[in-house]
Amino acid sequence: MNIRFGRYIHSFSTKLSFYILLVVALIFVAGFVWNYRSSRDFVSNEAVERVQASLDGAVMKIDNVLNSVETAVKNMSWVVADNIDDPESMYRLTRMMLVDNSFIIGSAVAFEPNYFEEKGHYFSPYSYRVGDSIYNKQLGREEYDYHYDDWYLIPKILGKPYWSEPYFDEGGADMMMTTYSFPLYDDEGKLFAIFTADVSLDWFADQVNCISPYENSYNIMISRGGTFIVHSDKSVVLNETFFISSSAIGDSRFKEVGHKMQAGERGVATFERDGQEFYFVYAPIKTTGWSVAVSCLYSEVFAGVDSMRNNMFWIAAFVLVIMAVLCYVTIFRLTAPLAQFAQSANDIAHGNFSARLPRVKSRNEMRMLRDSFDYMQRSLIKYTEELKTTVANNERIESELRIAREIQLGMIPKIFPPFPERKDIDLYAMLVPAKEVGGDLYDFFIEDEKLYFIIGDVSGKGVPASLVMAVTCRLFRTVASHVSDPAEIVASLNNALAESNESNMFCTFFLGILDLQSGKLLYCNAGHNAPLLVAPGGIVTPLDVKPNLPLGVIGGFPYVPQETMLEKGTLLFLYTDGVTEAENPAKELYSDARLKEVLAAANSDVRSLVNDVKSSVDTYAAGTEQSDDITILCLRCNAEEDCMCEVEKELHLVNELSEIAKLPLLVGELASEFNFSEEQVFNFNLVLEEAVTNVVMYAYPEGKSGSIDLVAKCDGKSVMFVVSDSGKPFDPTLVPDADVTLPAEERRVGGLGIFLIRQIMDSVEYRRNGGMNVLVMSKKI
Amino acid sequence: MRLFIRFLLLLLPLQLSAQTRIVFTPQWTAQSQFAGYYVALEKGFYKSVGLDVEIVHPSVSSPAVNRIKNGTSDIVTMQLLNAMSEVSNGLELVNLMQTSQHSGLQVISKDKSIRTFEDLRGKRVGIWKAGFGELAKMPDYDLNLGIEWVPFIQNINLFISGAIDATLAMSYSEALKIKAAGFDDVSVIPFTGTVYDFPDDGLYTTRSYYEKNRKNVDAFVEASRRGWEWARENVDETVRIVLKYTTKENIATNYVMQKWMLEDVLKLQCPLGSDYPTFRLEKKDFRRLDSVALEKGIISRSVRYEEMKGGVR
Repeated sequence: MNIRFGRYIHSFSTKLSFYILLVVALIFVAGFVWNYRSSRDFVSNEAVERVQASLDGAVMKIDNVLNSVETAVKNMSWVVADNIDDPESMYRLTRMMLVDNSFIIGSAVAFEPNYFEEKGHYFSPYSYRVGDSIYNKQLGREEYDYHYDDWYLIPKILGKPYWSEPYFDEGGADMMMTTYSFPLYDDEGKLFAIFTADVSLDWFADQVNCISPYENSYNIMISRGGTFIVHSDKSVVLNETFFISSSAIGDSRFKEVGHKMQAGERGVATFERDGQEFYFVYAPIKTTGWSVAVSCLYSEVFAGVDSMRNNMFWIAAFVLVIMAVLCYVTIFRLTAPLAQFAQSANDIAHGNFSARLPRVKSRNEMRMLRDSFDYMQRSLIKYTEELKTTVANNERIESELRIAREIQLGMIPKIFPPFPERKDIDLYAMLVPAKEVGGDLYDFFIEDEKLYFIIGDVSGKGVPASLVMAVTCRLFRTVASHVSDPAEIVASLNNALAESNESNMFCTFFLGILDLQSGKLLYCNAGHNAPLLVAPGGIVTPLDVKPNLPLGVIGGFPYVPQETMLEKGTLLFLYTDGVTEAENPAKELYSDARLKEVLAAANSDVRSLVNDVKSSVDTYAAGTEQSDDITILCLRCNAEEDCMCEVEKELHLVNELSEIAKLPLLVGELASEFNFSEEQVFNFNLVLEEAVTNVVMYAYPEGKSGSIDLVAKCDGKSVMFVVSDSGKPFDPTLVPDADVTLPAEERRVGGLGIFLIRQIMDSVEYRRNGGMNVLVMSKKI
Repeated sequence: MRLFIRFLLLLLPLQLSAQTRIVFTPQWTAQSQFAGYYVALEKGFYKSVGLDVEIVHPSVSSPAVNRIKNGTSDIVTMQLLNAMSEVSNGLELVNLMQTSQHSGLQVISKDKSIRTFEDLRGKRVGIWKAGFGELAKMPDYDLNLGIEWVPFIQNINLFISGAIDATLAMSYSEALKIKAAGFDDVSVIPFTGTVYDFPDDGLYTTRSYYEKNRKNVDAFVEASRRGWEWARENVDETVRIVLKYTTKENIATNYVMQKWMLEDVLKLQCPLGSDYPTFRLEKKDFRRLDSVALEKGIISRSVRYEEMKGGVR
């Protein structure tokens, strides 16, 4: 489940959808915020303007009325001055004020003390409205010295008209009032009276309360002293000031706004109260210095914007969800083949080249991918087919080359010692081709007590060289059987090879004919490198050779024969340049010098010497691929060695086990001549028993009779037994030794015999010679 | 038996009506300045000492001093200087209790450059017409400042209108109104702590009334004192009690105003360096004021402490 979920989370479509949605959501949010902010700003400005407009409207109305009162008082003041001689007429004038101006509810002409002598200290004719009636009275008296009232004193001191702070008239009207006081001066500029008009504030309050831009907005009006003239809470009207209202006490900014209102400024402020933000828009009533303010809640002002915001939010959320689904489905459908492609690629990797590919209908990159996959599949199938053919061909060629190698190697003698019966010659040779087949060659045979031997190196390698080598070998055998002069033989070979040498191949060649009895060596060189003579004591010298030309270069080349005497015990070491030109990993050649060193220190036994050289070369090459065929032939003539009189006994047997009883006769004859010890006799008998038993048991098919020939030789120094039979080819030396460390019952059948033979004898050789199995066993005694 | 009970029941209202009636008049309209007396009445402290106290506020035409003179009020509050002035003029007044140990007088100006009395030289300064300003005129007299005093009746509108350069104000009254009107960045010259700092509000009655009703007057003083002490412990409730009287008297005010006032009044009751009032008129303060007032001609003759001695000692 977790893996499936993880795959779902990490799937292409999920991730891509997520990123697309993320970007879209960010754009949405940015747009949303920008839009909301600008809408809010717009609405805010619009709201403030709207509130200010209604505020200004109300303020203008109030100012108009106040102005009309001022004008009325001012106009009437002239009439007062004109009638100053008639104190009683003042009642008529004040009454007229009330009659003419419905807003005026009281009016007085309050005189300075003792202005009219007959009227005394206090004279203030006053008209006032009660209901629809207008009454007159004289205000001033002992108990009420109006001269110290604000409405009298302040304009008097200021010397200019004055709107009083609002007050609650307890006199009779029982209403909130303000009084406009207009100082009157006589001709000498001396104040003689204050002319007043009382105005009810109820109407003003109504005007202010009419401002209702929002349902829950509320309005206030304050006087110059901050006293509330209008307030939603009637109890604070005239009792509290703006500055000790709970708002102002809690917020100094509110107080600052109050000061601005007092200063007659207009403006907008924002406040927070009880967790609700609100606008506070204010404007002055210029006439009186009062100030009106409207307060509206943000939540109401921005109700529209907020609801729009909410709608937009839900729309955006809806759109995002739809987009999410669309995105996911689309991308999933587009990329779904990818997973199938991955599966197909896996299948193809596992060898199923015809793995099914996803179907892609649309012509897009996915289709291109599919086509590429399809092409790849077909190419792979085709290539694999071709590869199969090629591999088969290569295998065939390799197999043929292997056969060719076997044939080639079969052409050269490979059985060593080649002449075990001869003591006058030791010879060992080795050919290691660089490729399956090579161009090197060697050969030797004895005829008329002369050893014919050759070594050669055909130019190039591989099959062409091997063919030339084969031809050369065969020609040598053919020519040598008729001609005994080395130069002649070489010349014949040269001519034969040059005759039809269209591929310009040649062969360096050395031919030697050693008289085994005299040690005289006749030889002829055809461009081959000089063989080396290794004298006893390790002195290495090259054989003096004329270079001549390699075979096959120029037909009819006059080859010059040479001759020398091969000292007894001196080794003749022939080799091809594969030895001296073997390379190590640093591409350095093995060199003649190194070869000579090895030869100087080498064992005197030819086989060991050759193997020493080869292993030295191998060590030097250190794994570097062999670049040329390596061929070595080494011989030693023992011609002048004194040969002890040799005794040879023969015994002919048939393939029956009963014949084994005859064997002690053969050993006994030798033993009597050479005084073998009893142990030797026993051992030799045992060797022969085992060898013959092997032949009896395995050489011939069951029921078929065959012969077994035994030859026993002894020269006093060594004894040699040769067992020959004409049975099926069988090399007992290849039978692995029995593991004598195992208990007898666990040992493999066979192998014990050859093990015993090896234990007793010094050397055991097998060869197939002329359809015969020949087993040669020898031991020094 | 039944008759006896009936007799007792008849006696009960007689017993109640036997409470002595006292008309008490503070020197100004209802406000926290007189909170202790409203509390004593509301909380029944007067009743508990057998007094039926009626608080009658003064009017322009009938100030407290007039009421004590003509006997319409039995006990009044007065400023010490006014009382001494009356005594020097022949009205025999007894100081029953000294509520205010300090003068709440201040000079307030919108002009911030006015910081000392010296700065008032030649200025137009508002003063109460009702006559609490004699003390305030002392620096004018001493420093020969030539202040043009403008008397006013109502409140601070003269100050607000800008018709005067500065105004006299009581720290517990006009000063608070000015603050409430939004003028909190004003220059204030207080009298407290100056050589013009004298005991102010006190409780008075006439010598004759005192002699005749000594027991009741002492009871009134004791209950009034309880009222003040209770007010000190219960400021908020006291303000609410005060507001009952201001409403009744149609005084334009509010809770905040009255609380500020009460707090200030209670502060002025404590002698310098003390947090508790003694309600006692100190002889040395009296003598100091006597000599200053005599020098300024506020009183026509020296008044002896013993002449006005009575009540709380």
